[in-house]
Amino acid sequence: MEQQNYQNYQPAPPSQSNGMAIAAMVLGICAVIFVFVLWFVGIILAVVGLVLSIMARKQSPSGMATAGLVLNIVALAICAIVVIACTACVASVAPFVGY
Amino acid sequence: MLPTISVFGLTIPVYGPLILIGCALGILVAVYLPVRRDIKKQDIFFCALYALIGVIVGAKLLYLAISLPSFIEAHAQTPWTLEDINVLFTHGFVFYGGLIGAVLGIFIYSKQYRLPFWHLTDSLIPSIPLMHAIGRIGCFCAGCCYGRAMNPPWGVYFRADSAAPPDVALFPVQLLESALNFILFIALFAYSRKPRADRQITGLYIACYGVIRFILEFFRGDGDRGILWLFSTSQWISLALVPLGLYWLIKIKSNNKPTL
Repeated sequence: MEQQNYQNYQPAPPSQSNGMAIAAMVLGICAVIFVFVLWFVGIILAVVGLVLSIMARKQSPSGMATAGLVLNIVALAICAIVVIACTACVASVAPFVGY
Repeated sequence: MLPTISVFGLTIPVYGPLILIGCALGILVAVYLPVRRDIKKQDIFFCALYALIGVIVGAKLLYLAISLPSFIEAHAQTPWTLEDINVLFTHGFVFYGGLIGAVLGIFIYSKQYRLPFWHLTDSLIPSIPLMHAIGRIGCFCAGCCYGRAMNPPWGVYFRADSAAPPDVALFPVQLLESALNFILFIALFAYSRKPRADRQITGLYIACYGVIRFILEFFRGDGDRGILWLFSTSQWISLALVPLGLYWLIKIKSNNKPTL
């Protein structure tokens, strides 16, 4: 009887977005680390990871995709706090080009 | 005024956290006070993230396009250092570049997931002046984007460690732009409470902001404004955007059925 139940069991089909979710999470972890070491690489990783995590979550929401989304947003937030000194304008360049 | 703050012994530029607060508030407003009820909250959130990526890329690219020649000229005699490259990439973003980038981000998201582009754009537009208003407070703290030299009480003195010249009283145009953006946010938000045709909310925003920016540019006193003939780059963009905004606001109204 028990064996019969096992035979009826259908394994869940592998999710297409699983690979994307894993990639997004790995990129998120790397982005959080790289933001402190090589911030520019960190931003690129976070942007790519963010797009991948959104695509993965749109296809099938999973914990890994959500983790990737959160990690990549955190990496970009750290960038905003630590890296961007100023400013929302062209003017900021003036003190640095030696006028 | 207050370029940096010290948190647990770490010196942080005030501008970054303020930009972050502005973005977070803008996204929260777009998601939880939706303009269109036919778009899922999740889609508005994801689309806002795409737009944010567009803002980063667009604002930086336009800044590089405007400033790179003067940067290259300044370094004609001296060799480039890592610090120069760091300054080039971390300092300076152009708002209009960010706005164009944001629209491109929304466009890509709408095409990727087959969602109506104008519904998404109209949903996110009211948040932009809110983000911008908070960002301009950051500019005031950092001392960038400052105004023309004016005697007190119209002019204020910035600290020596800020980006503004410390020994001259300057008109705080950043605070004026911030206040006008807050007013524009409230106006857009009130306007979008009633059913509006596609592009009307966007049209109202770009028409109003174009006028605001065009006038405020005359009060700006900061160095490299990217002047082309009579006006600055931002004024030329404003001149192009205002008629387009008015066209969308007035003409589309008569052609299109309002939706919510």
